[in-house]
Amino acid sequence: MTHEGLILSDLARRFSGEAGIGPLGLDIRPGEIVALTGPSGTGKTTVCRMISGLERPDAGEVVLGGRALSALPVQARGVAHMFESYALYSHLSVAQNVAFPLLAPGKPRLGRDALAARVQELLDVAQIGHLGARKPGALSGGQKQRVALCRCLVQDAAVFLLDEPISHLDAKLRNELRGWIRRRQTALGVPTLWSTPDAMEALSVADRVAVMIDGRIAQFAAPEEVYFRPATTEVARLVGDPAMNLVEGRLEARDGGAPGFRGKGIDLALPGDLAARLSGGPRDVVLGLRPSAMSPGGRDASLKVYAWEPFGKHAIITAMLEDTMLRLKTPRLDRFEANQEIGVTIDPAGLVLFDATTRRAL
Amino acid sequence: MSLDLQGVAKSYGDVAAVHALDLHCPTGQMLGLLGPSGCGKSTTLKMIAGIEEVSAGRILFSGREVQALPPGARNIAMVFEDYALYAHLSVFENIAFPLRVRGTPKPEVAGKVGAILKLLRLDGIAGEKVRKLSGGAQQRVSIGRALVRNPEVIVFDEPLSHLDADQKVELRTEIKRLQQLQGLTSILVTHDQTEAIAMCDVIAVMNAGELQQLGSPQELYDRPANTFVAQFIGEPPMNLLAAELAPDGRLTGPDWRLPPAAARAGLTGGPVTAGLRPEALRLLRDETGGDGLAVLAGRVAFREHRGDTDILLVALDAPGPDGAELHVSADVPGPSPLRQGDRVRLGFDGSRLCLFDPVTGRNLQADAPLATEAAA
Repeated sequence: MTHEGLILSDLARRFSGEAGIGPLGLDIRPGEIVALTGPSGTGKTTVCRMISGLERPDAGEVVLGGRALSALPVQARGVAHMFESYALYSHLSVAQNVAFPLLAPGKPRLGRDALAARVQELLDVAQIGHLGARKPGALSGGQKQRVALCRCLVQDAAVFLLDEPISHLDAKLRNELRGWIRRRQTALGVPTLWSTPDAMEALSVADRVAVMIDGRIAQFAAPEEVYFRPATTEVARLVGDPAMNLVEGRLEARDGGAPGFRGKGIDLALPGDLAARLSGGPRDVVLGLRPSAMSPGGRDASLKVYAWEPFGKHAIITAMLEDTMLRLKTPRLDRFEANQEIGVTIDPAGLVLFDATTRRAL
Repeated sequence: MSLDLQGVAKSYGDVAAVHALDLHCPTGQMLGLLGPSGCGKSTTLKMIAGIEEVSAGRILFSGREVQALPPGARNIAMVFEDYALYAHLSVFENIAFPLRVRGTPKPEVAGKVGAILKLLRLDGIAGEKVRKLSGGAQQRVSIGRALVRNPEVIVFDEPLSHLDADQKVELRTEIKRLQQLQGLTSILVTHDQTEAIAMCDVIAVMNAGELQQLGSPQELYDRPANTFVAQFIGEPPMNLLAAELAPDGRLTGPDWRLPPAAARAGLTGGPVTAGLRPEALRLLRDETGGDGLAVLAGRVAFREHRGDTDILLVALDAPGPDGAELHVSADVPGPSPLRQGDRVRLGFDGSRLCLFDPVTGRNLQADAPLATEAAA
């Protein structure tokens, strides 16, 4: 793959006594946002640090605009990096923190007014325009996060790395900034890597999503693909609100010969296209069931309600299928009580099957 | 134990962090303190726990004044966002810790901790060192440590904010279930409206040190007291549209109208702000509007995937009163085939509309029935 964006090829980092990271490959085209998502501790931050040069990979290369970066020092890479830990200068004001990258030696000098205007514009968008004179010590966590975001976005960079840029903000602000950052970065025409443990945030902001599990990329695809066709059970467990339910069972011929899924408390015909792909003998499989693919009323499975949580626009039922805990997303107006027995209908269009051993999608 | 705050205020020098706050949490319920960063929720929590002194007002535990008591005399247990466990100790010893420091006899410690371990489904890992556990399991240990000494109030301070999404969903269900089973009077402090809605019986929404609304999650969602609450609860936030209300209940926007409705009749006519949840907007496939349906026409400015739904940000054809472009968010079934620039028509009826005063932002129908009550 070659383009003028950011390319990670076979990048790897080893740690003594622990599983390392990679080798992994990833590319971000100019103007594209790629989200890197995965559970905490999977190595997302280390990937960002290898791109910006704060950590040296043990193997592989980072290529930006056709040029290998490994020989370049941090400040010569043209990488704007927002740190998850914020890393603000406590002795500088908010405005000075944001202006700081523009005052580095070797950067073209902006006039004082132009500099102040550029800083203020970003602070205003992040709704901290009134806090420019404050020191970081007098800010809340969410406000510090926005200062760090502004200090990154203010730069004229060849690539932007946003490590958890909006995770500590409230929903309204998250929603506003998500769209604003996306439009801005797309218009800038440079590659942006957006790291987040929240897979739903990754789906909303990114052109493509890289799901990282145990130091490796388990799936790198468009958001719809990751949501509707997760590559492995591990990806499936991360994606969705709430995530996909997984039920262990067996693929067996039903009456009439077509394969069906049989597990504890569940016996299900498979839709024609899925059945056609799965010819062959009986085998152990994992059934992936999206929470919205199950609806109360019906006889596809019998569940016992564990908890019922009403939300604004929907409700979540947590229920036991024998000894497997499942979550269903339903319209809010139905009310359910703990220990109530419910039958459910399963929408066959929403099913995904995984091999029980490899945990990969079939 | 019930909890009351009466006129509680806190100021630091000239800066008022919390204005006269009145709150009530009935025995056995969970009260949420929810608001954006800097709204005063953490200060309020600290005053309840006794870590900060009140500048004015009274805090009552079951009618007994406690605002002058030191934290140790209030019998409050706290669960923190970073767990605050003893990393070198086992699960059992972490939970036993508050009993040990009180010199509780060994057999009693074993019995009490055993019951807690079972309740929190930690009995299988009682001997493990806590640093080896996942964040979700560590937070369960910290809840166990809070519960073991039978506190009168248990306070959860952003308990889920460091957890991965799957553990967040699991633990919020567990906390709610436990809180109900044990009848614990509890307080949840969070900036995350989803958490508050999932767990709390009653939620206090705060902004800039002032209480905006105290109500059940459903009241906040369906009948927000003002435009701040309307936009703070729900994701994406409620759409707000300028409109004109006629005395007969007819509602008119720049290029849309809704017929008279009983729910709107009786209100004083004039300019209003109409509040519309993104999921109340439906994509219309053809040119028909239909009876009683208002139609907003525009172009898709931006589309976000949310899995089984898509959020469309739509730039409306009709500009706002000041000539600026207006946007609405629509929550539609996904994945939709729509792309940026595509023309769309969004329909809505008046059934779940909120009306606000355009100047004060206050809800004009504060006494209207909730959606579920109307349906029942």
